[in-house]
Amino acid sequence: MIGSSYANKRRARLLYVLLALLAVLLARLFQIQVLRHEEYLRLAEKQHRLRIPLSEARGTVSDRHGRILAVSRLTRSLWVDPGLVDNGRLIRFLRPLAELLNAQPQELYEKCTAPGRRFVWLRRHIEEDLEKQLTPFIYAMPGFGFREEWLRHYTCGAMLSPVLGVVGLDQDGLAGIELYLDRQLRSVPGEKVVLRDAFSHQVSLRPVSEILPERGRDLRLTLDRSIQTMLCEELSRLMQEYRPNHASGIVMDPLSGEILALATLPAHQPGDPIAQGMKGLQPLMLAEAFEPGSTMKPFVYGAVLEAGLGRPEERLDCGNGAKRFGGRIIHDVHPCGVVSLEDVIAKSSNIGAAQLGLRLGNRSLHSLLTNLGFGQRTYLPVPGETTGTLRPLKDWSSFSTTSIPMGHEIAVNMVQMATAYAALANGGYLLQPYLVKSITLSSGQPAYDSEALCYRRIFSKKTCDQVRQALVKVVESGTATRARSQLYTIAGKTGTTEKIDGGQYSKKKNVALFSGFAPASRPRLVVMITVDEPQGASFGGVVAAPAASRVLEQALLYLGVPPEQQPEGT
Amino acid sequence: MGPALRKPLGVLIGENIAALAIVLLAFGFFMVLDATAVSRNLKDASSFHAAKQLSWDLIGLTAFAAITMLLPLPWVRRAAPALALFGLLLLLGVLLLGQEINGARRWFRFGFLSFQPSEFAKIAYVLWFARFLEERRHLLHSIPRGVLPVLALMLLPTLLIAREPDLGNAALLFFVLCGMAFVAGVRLAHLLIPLLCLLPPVVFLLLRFTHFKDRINAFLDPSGDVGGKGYQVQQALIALGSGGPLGKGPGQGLQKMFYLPEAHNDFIFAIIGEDLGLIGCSLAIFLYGFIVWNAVRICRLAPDLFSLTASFGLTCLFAGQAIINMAVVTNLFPNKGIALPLISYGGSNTLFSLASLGVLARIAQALPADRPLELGAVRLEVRQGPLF
Repeated sequence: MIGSSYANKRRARLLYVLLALLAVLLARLFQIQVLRHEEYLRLAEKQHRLRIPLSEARGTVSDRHGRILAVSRLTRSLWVDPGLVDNGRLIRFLRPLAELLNAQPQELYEKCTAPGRRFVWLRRHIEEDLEKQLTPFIYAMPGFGFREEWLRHYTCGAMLSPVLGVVGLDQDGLAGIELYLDRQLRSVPGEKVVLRDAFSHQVSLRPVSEILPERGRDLRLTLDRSIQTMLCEELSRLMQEYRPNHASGIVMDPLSGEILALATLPAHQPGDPIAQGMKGLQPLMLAEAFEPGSTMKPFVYGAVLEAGLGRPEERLDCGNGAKRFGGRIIHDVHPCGVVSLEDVIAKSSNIGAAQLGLRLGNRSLHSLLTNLGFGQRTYLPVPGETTGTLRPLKDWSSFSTTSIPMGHEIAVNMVQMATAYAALANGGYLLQPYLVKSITLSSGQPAYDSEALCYRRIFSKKTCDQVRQALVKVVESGTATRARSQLYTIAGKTGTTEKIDGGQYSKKKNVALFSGFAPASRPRLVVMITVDEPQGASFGGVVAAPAASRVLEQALLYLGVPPEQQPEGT
Repeated sequence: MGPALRKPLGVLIGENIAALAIVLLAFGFFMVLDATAVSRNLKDASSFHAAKQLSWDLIGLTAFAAITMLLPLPWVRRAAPALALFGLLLLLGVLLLGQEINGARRWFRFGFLSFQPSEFAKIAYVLWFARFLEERRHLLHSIPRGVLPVLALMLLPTLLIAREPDLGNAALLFFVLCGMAFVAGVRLAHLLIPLLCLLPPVVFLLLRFTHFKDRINAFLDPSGDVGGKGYQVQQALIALGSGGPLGKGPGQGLQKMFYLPEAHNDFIFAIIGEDLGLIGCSLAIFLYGFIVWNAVRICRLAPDLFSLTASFGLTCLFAGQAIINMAVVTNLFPNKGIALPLISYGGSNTLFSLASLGVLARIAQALPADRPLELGAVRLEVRQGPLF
């Protein structure tokens, strides 16, 4: 044997280097696993945890009887991750897929192969039968998937869209009540954290943490779906007959201030793409101010009676169709001659109304209008409301005294006007109009219950009765005889205002108005209808009054109000 | 205790090595079971890997036992040149006929078996080199007759392995052979000067391998290249770091859920760190450390230069692999395709690691009985009973 020398063995101690290296490894492990443990733990949790958003339904909107007006339901949407798409399979399935999705194959291909994108929507809110047809494709093609999304469904379609508004694809209110009460209606999202593997598959059933989502609050409106339908049918008949820019209407309960129907046509059809700056979504009965014209006269008449400045049977000389007031001449459409004050309303004499205005004076007129709520918001929960125009007293001229009583120099919105008519109908009380009856938490507990709110009394009962008689006369023998009903006594006032066109009153562009209530002896409903630029006819008594009368008739029958004995003269 | 009951020290060391090998294998088996607990398809199921690993463990242990018990050391010495020649032929063969995986020809594939010839060639070559050094030990100071042949023999297998390319194994073998030459008595200067001369061309050639450059970059900043080469190391660090001192518990780690590629293979040490924490990692390091410690004792008692250099070389090969693997996982070293011996999943690696430990144990058994220690070291070695 050849022995190994002492020198060789000493050199073999090089093996200790291995032990030293192992010690270095231990030190390095101590650094990673003890000193930097927290840091790596955070990194690990970040990649191991998958946050799954949990969503709940937006609150339901229903009418006063609980009939659904707007509701959210879960649908599926098709999306694609272009990073995972298999090109060969995509080309193979492109044509049938495009056919199912009703898309151009080229366009679809570009979406599915968009470079750098990892999430592209292909089609949102897929119907159930289409989903069934698509499912085999989804399984055959990597990168495609369904995602559940909420879809808002409106049961009344265009009938209510200007009031209810719409929600966006992400269930945010964009217009109408959906926008105004978005905070009440919207759900509170939740989140679930689960463990996942590197391919983002969930690996444990039990979540690491979970915050449950909360359903939005349910809204019950004062609207009555049936009355809304009646109103909309009449409005659409008006639209067909007179082809106006738009026709709007409101039905209100004069005893509580509840709004039972509120509509404007033409309106946005829910589900259609929103075009032209949300035009069909504008709540024109709130957002558009108009000159009330003759519909203003009953209030002036009431104020004169209330102040003791005149009696209904008092005779007034209204001349032969034209009369000079200060620096200008006021005309009547039909010369009246000498008539009673009541007939000034019934025949809608501008000259008579101007004389009533002179009796009151500017100060009283202004406080009357303020008390009636003109120039102030109604606070209905619909965005876009206009206050109308009621100029401050100091800006009024001597012309105002005679202009205001015939509804010029002032602009109001329909809800203001209907509320003021409700005051005539209910014995002189100005009420807060309202649209939301109650709000319920997702747990079922009530969050809000509305109650009638009266601001002030404007007219005494006696005055109201006298004004009402005049308004009945309008329908029975005055300007609105076409609004006469076989079933109920209708009280109301017509109005035909000339639109302002280029700074001057237009002779061609009118707004036809009718505002009234029934039954006259014990009013249950106030109705107001405006028709903007009707073609072929212009008078409120011709265009708007019959429609309002039909709405009143149907709605009162629907409400079970027994038809009255017809008063004398019919 | 009477001297008759005392086992010879060499036998004791051999038993220690056997016990350490078995403990490492068992540890490795359970870690493979753990790391492959989740699979994407039936073929990769945990039971498949574990069963395959277990059969290789048993084959390897049989080889270990056969070498330790049946193979006389002089036969090893006599067979070494033939084995080494066979190894070199295999290396040549793999370059010509081997299966190409990821741009490297390192494997022979026979049906369901695959075999990495460098695993065998390294061991055979170390044995032959030990014999060569012993035979030429008087000439090692002469440059033409000692140093130059030694250098040539060192470079021959290194270049063949590097050609595959398998730079990790080539470098490891080269430095092990350097160490053996140094131990055998070659002057340090004779080794260092050629080494320094070789350095610039080697670096130049290395930089032409793009994947080597990528690995270096990934090594310098593993988090900067998430998803690329650095991804693996970054995920290994996350596994180790999130395991912490005590670990998440056996089987509780999440990094094996496909975050960490090669979790059961080259990066099994990260899974140990995640599930068993610093405790588990330390256990593995101490087991390797004990093997090195036993080798140190063999070297102290080695009766001849062949035993000394061969045991030195085999130990360095074995422990060097372990250290490089762990250094890669802890991002102390650029990413190399080197497995963790006896723990990682893999057939030929396990077999030849066990074979080399078998030769080491065989050398230990042949040590002269109970020789007093030089340098007055403490006689720990003669304590009664096995260490484990």
